Amino acid sequence: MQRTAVAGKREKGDTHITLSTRCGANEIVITSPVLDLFGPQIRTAVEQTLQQLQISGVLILVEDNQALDCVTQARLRCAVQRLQRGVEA
Amino acid sequence: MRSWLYTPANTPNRMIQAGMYGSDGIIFDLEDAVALSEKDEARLLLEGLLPLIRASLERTHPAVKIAVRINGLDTPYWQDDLKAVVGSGGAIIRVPKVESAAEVEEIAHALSLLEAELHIPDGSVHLQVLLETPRGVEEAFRIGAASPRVIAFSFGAEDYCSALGIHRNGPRVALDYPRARIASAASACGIEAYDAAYGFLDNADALVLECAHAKALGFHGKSAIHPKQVAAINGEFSFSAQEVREAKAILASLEKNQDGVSSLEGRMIDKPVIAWAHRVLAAAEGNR
Amino acid sequence: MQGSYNDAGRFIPSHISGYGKTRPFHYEDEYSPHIQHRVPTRDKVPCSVTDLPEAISLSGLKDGMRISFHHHLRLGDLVVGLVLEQLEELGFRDLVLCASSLMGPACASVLRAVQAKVVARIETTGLKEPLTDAVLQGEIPQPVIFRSHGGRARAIEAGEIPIDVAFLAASAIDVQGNLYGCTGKNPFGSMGYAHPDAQYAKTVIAITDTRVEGQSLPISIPSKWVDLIVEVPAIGDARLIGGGSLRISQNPLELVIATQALGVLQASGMIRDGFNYQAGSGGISLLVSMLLNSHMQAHHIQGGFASGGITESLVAMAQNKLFHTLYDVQSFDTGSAASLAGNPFHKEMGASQYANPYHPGCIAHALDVMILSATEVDLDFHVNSITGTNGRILGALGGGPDTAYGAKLTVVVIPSFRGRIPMIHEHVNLVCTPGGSVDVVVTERGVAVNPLRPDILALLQASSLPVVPIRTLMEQIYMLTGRPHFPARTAKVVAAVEYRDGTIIDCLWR
Repeated sequence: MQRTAVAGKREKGDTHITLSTRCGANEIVITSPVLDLFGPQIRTAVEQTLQQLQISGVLILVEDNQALDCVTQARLRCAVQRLQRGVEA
Repeated sequence: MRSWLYTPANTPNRMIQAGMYGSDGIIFDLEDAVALSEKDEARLLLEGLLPLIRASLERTHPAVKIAVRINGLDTPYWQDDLKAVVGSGGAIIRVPKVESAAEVEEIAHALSLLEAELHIPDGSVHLQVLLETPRGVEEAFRIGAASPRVIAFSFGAEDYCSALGIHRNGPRVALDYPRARIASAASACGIEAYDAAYGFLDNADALVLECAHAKALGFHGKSAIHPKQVAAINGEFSFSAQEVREAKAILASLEKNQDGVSSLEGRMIDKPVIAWAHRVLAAAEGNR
Repeated sequence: MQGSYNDAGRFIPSHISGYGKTRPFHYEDEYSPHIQHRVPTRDKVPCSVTDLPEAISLSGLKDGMRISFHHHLRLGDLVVGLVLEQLEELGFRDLVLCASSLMGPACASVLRAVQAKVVARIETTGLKEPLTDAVLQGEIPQPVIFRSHGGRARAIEAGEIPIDVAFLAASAIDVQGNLYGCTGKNPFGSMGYAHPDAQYAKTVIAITDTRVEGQSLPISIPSKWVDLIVEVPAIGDARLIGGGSLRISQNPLELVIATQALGVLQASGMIRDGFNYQAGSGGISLLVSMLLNSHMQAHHIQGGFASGGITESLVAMAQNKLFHTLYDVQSFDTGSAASLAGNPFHKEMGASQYANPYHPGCIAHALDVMILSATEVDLDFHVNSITGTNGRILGALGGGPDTAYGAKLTVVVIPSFRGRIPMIHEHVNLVCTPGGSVDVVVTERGVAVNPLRPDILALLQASSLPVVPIRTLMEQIYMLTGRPHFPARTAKVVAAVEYRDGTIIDCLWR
């Protein structure tokens, strides 16, 4: 059964992360008003954290609103924790 | 420290700018500013953001100090809060609703364990204790003396007024007792005392009057809840250029007269006067 | 591609489609004033015509000619749309549209006209949606030419961009054909940007929704410059003209920057009796003016003139004798428009007198202090006010290059970053105002002084202001935001920025 967790907000300077379990490899989908300027950094930040936490089998939707990389990573960490704790989205 | 600006710990864009408003210190708030459902989110954000904010402030505003208000000891969050803050380099913790020396000892002990775990010197993390209840106010001196980690008191007027059933914006005299007791206990413990945050943002005049009153009672500074309060608070709690000159003159005359009691312009320079002079210059130095 | 690098370090092609041969920008120490190509006064009395099609017919407008508009009705303008629709109906083609600026509903009308092939070229100080995307996507047949207010006036007076028909909205026209901006159903104040058009266009069609009798008010454009008069039901939407007071920003960070900017003015010694002042209309600039007001009152300083876009707060300062004259090229609110009508110290200023570098009495050259905003700045202190870091068009050239050149002290006020986007880079996307004209950059995190001004640097370092090299400031900001990936340039020029003297300072490549 698919589980989902969210963290963060869609406000300026923040990012809203939605994690859902799935079969197969991780997939990262990013939307952002600054995708052309910071897209690669956002992706790298997400990948680094997933690797650190050794997470696999998730779909990560990143709805960025100009968050710094460490904010993205903190929100992702929170979403992972919530997913693992079984906190309802 | 004249001013401490509160910033909610779950809003990244405000946290990054918090140090820009001229306050002597900033406080990231994990307690009242964060909803229960967001406590974990805020804690992780603070942990992730604190090192960057600190590094950035060190370059542009090196004198600004950073504190974190954790959740109270009556909540299930405070231990995780401590771990996150100390683990990310935090050195000042503001503890809400403290009512006894035992609570201080509990936190001090938890901090010692954390410091040992993280290989940082024991005692390096300091505490600002929020006295917000009648019991806290009554126990002030014992609380302050309970641990060398305690470096300041902060008065929490909202909760205190609730407990007594009085208005926050009532006659000033109603809060004279807790204020005076806190300032006195702080002095007895050799620590600083900060006055309560004033929540009525549109009343700039009332803010200034409150600051003047708190200073007259012996407070060193005050908490701010909005950047627009900072300039007024700094202004009221600063010593004037005249006072700084006076303090320097006093200490200079002391050096000349090493033995016995000296006098300056007909005024006896005894211990209390010297202590005042030191306090003025320490404040002037800290505010640079 | 053939071309060369100019003094701003930018490659300029030798030739730009639709524009012609280019002259690359070079720093000039001064511009010798000289009388330019003058158009003789018209002898005929203006005739009143009932409708627009007849006026257009009488004007002799043909395909490929140049038409012009002013933008004094701002977001409430209905005239641009009205005229372009009419021109489309009449089957005109390939016109060159020369506007003092384009904003609000006018932009959609212009895009429609481009799509209908009525307009082939655009010349303006700025443009907004939906034109911005269209320009970047190459949907305008020829590159857009951006000029500053002074540059536009210069080019018109020098005969480089001869206007065949100027369509000038006036809020009222009297029986003799004089044009007013301060009275009528939709008043907007000064008509400063329309002065060069009125004086130098071959035919002037004045459009109004209000006829009045006498001349109790100062005339904006005298009837000798007017050929044809058209009455329409409404020239604009009064609610959108910008009638309300410009709201003073409540943003505490902007107040920090403004306070620091005032500190720069104080430390540099520029605030003294008789000093001449101008500030842009951005939020931070308005805050600086507000703080300056308090400062001047507290220290009993009587300034000289204030100029540019005039606001109610500047009017209040003049009423309090803080400035003896207001030179108004654009009235930003109803209070300002009313003041222009009634206060002797409040004078309308034409665009040429304002900012044409060759005008003998150029007001911009008499400025002591200019407060400027920007979309980004770079390590050479070049200022961009048109595009953002990602190359999207956000703003306008305005009078920035003119006032920055002229002012003894030019201060740019910007936040360190907006959202996640840093405001200071090694190279700006598009150079609008060259670094040689820019003296100080003020952010909330530090103040940077152009190395070309060691005198200012010494004064600021002696103060308590956080003076820091601009490269250090950039790196501090990048440390927080990360270094952005800058957009790649292709080989196509979609717009060019002509500097105030007619040279090309930069191009927008896509």
